[in-house]
Amino acid sequence: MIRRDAPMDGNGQPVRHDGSGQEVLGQVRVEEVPVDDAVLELVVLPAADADGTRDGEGQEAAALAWVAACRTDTPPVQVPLYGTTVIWSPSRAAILAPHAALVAVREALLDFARCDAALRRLEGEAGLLLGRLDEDAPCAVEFDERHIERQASLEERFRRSVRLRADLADLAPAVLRPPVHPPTLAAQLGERLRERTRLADRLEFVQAKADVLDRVYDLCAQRVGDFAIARRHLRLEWVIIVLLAAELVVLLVEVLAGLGTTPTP
Amino acid sequence: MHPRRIAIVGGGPGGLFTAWLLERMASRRIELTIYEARDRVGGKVLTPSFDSAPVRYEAGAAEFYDYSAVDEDPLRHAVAMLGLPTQPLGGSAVLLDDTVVGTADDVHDRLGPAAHAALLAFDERAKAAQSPRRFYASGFDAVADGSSRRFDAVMDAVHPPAARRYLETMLKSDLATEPCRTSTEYGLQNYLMNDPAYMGLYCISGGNEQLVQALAARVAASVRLQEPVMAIGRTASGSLWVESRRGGQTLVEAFDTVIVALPMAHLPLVRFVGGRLEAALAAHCAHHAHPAHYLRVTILFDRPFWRRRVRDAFFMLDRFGGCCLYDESARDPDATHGVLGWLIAGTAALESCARSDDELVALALDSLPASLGDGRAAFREGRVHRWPGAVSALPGGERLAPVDQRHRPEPIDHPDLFLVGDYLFDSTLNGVLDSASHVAGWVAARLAEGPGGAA
Repeated sequence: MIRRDAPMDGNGQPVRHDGSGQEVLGQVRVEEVPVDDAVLELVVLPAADADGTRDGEGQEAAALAWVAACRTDTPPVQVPLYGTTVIWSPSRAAILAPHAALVAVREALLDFARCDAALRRLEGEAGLLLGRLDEDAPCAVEFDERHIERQASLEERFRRSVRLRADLADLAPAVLRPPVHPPTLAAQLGERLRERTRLADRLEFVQAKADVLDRVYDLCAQRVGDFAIARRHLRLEWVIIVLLAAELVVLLVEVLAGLGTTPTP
Repeated sequence: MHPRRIAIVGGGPGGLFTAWLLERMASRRIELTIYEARDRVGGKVLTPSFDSAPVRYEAGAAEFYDYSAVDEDPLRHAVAMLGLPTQPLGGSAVLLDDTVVGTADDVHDRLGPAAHAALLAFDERAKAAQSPRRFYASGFDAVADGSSRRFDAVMDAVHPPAARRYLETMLKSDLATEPCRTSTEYGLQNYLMNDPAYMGLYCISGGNEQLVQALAARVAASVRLQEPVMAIGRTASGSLWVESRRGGQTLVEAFDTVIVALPMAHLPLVRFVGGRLEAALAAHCAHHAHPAHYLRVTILFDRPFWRRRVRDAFFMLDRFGGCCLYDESARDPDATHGVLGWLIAGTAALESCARSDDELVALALDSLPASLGDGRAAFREGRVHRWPGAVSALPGGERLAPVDQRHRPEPIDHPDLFLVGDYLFDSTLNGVLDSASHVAGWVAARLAEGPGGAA
């Protein structure tokens, strides 16, 4: 995990409040946490009091501005809950929580961020594979000599679709985990983040795409396999034909040789 | 063949569900008549608006229970069939002495480790007593669970007092009665309903009353509003007669089948004529009359000032002996105003019924913890709805009668007289649909048997 000090607004400057010069967030430590194949910039801000009644609106607004400044295609999700606020986007997140809750909330946020990043990666992979579907789908019906140069790429995409299915199966228990009861703060935040980002729905959508990919590439794999078997059979048939022909030639030679000799009385 | 004439007494959700189901199930022509004493159908499902602003609020049933995570959910299915959009409701906060106890972590930090341990022990006990599947099927069991203990015995065992107070505040509005007046099983069920593994909560977007309006729009029955039924008996020719009053006149009509879908508290207002029937209904009422009470105070505010501290769709408050506060404005994503609905339950509700609306609104405003914000400064309008005896609490040690017996109190001389009600199951809308389904299926089967079946 990398730690660095960073300014806290979208313009790369320390956040200041109403131009008064009062620093709201100031220089805080930004962690860069690997989540799946991405990196999440995370700031953790302890709340002033344990009851969540702190006057932290300025701090919260500044944190929101910082998270929003990362300019991803996903607007920040803000989840306030009993004195704790989590602000998340795929590449930046901020936690404002009482001291006692920081560790658990941080872990819940990172757990969610890992799930989301993994799902995003799989959504991207499914999108890439679906993009090649029109091109590959004819091979699910017929594969012959004309398609031989595409065999390697088909095998590669078959392998990727199987990998996609395996990764989805691996991710599903984390996305579809049952709610915790009696509820804990960390569990509630995790559940709300999953709900707000529709992780379960998105997982279902990727699974539906994976179903289509499964069908097409499964059939493609069968056609390629059938073609390879057919080619082996063809070779074998030619070998048999050649052998039979050779045998016939030998037989003819023997017969002709027999005709040329005079039988002795 | 002339159509079978069926009377449904009561135009609440029980009567409407029964009519809707009967029309779909009946294999021969039926002619339905619904008697309703009030000027509207829908009973406890009521979504009025304030006078000062076109803002809706739930004045009766606040939410529906979602059992679809466990098994089939007939109400969820019915709502979907009627094409009504829904939204989930959630909340776990309990406000004790102006402290927000939102999670188990808060119980530990604010009420102490002993209270946290007591909560976990209580939770474990409840879950050990009932699995989600058993919880789902509990209303149908002839014998509840053999538990003869009252719920207060369970609560008495909860120590320290802070944990008990937390649990009592959390459970009070669901129980709608005191722990000493209900069974262990019923009490624990009301705790378990907070666990999403057992059930969820939802409401209908745009107001719960849309459910009864959609049902009323779909049934072809003749609905007679403001026509209370005074008496029911059997004619000499063998059919049932229903005596009603309309505009000061007494009307008597004969029916092949009568289904009484009245709340428990209204059942004694109907005179059942005939020695055996009268005795059976008296026994039925004695068995089920364990009234639980609700009172709803709903206040319109300029803004949802409380959301700085609590953003749940509902939360519990340690006032009025423990009440539930619904953030009604959370149901409308475009709302700029704030609406809080106090659901006061049990003895506190019954005692408060005698107070004036203004007094109750003032008491509700006073009950708001200071840290939530200044409710009086944001106050615009208050409304009060009283529901004394509106539901039934299962008393301690009481065992449920078999389902058929609950719905047909006198099967010998009156096999064609049925009862429908939420109190016959779990005093919820889900329960009233279960009850209506049971009776509608039964009556439809009798209709299919032939002329003698329903007569």
